[in-house]
Amino acid sequence: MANSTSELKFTKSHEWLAANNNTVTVGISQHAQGLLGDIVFVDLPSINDTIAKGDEIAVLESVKTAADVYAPVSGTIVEVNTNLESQPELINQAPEDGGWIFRIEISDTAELTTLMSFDQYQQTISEE
Amino acid sequence: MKQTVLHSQHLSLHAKMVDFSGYSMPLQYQSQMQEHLAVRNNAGIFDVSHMKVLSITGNDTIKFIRYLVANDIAKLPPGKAMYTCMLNHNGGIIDDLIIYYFNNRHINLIVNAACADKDIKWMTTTAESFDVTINIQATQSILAVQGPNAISLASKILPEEYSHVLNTLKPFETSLYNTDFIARTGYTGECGFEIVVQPATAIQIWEQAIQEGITPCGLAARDTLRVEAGLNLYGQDMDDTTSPLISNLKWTVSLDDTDRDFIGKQAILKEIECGVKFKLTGVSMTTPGMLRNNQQITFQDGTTGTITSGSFSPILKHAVGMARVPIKAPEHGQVMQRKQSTEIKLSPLPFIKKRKTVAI
Repeated sequence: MANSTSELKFTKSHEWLAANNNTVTVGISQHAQGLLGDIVFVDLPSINDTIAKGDEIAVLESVKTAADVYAPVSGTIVEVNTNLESQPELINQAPEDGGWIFRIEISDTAELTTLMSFDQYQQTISEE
Repeated sequence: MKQTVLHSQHLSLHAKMVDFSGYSMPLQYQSQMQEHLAVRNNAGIFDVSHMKVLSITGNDTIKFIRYLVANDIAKLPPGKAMYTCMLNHNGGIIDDLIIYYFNNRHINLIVNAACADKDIKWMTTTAESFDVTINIQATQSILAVQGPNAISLASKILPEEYSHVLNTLKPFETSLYNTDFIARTGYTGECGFEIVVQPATAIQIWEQAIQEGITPCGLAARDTLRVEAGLNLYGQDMDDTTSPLISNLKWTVSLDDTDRDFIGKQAILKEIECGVKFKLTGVSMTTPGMLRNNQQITFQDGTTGTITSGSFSPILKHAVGMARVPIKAPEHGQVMQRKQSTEIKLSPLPFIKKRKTVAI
């Protein structure tokens, strides 16, 4: 499943989202994985967890630091990337593709409009 | 920010650069895990030119060094390198350093970048009552090549006069060529060498090393390697408030020659007499997660310890670190991991067995 970066939506906290009808796939951006360094552990959410936009739902631990992954939209966790348990480095190697983290069945499609395009996200990170 | 002579080489290899003690240094090139494993499995090359090279020369060279540092150079013949701490009058560690003993009128030292100014000031003041001259070698580059294949690859990357001598140098031996020198030393727990050369030679060696498939390694890999190898980092595992006795470095304090006085000796003797209260030891957590600097460890007997260096072992594939704990701390303790109490285990350092050269 290859995600074209131009089709992704982004948050200020460096998550990306790929929408497929009512299900969205979420991961962290190329920029974010570079800031974190080599990731060694991923603490994934549980399937069927109900989550609200902005909740901290996963934790990434790198040698350098720990970082929270926030829910870009509200809904229910329907899938998690279990490959990350044995290969956390997938997030560094393919952050916007094989390094996806979890999938949400969204409860409010209107929330999708609050997200940024790739160009808008690039703009915010260049201002950092 | 200062730059080393290999700055453009680091950029061309897409290194992520960071400020380390005022120097722009490579943190990692691609992946610190890959760099770490390359050093354990083949060979890696490090630019450590941010560290400071000093030379001590003069009639009182040996006398001065014997007073200045806690380990005793008189135990060794010329041609040896010696690891030691330099103590203050309270027995606290000012810096850890390696001494390269060329002859009884010439010794070189390599000191930590972060401590260089402090060290030079201290040494200069102490040197006032000795017939010695201290010189700062400002123009040299320091490269480290480390790994089971480091020695066999040396002949392919070093100028002939150095690769020739490397075949006969044993671990912790050193050899001087004009102002350049080479030693079988390192900070990774692997076989290898460190070489101090003029900039043009450093660039040549570096580029040849990359061509030979030696992996360029940054400071991030350097840190995970040294933790696995049980080697201290000054400013983190020890500082001027900690003596070598509580820093896993009792072996670097030589009290054999009772006639030798050295700075901090009285404080060390006092600490031994009163009973050493702490130890620096290894800590592991085998459940998923990382150990972090300054995390507190609680023991069942109510005592506590502190993690000085929290890290991860790519070889063992779990979190490891170093911790300062009460001398009689039990083997098992607890740390808080995101609000949950998690078990850790103490064990003597290092985490990996002593490494040997791969037979060719």
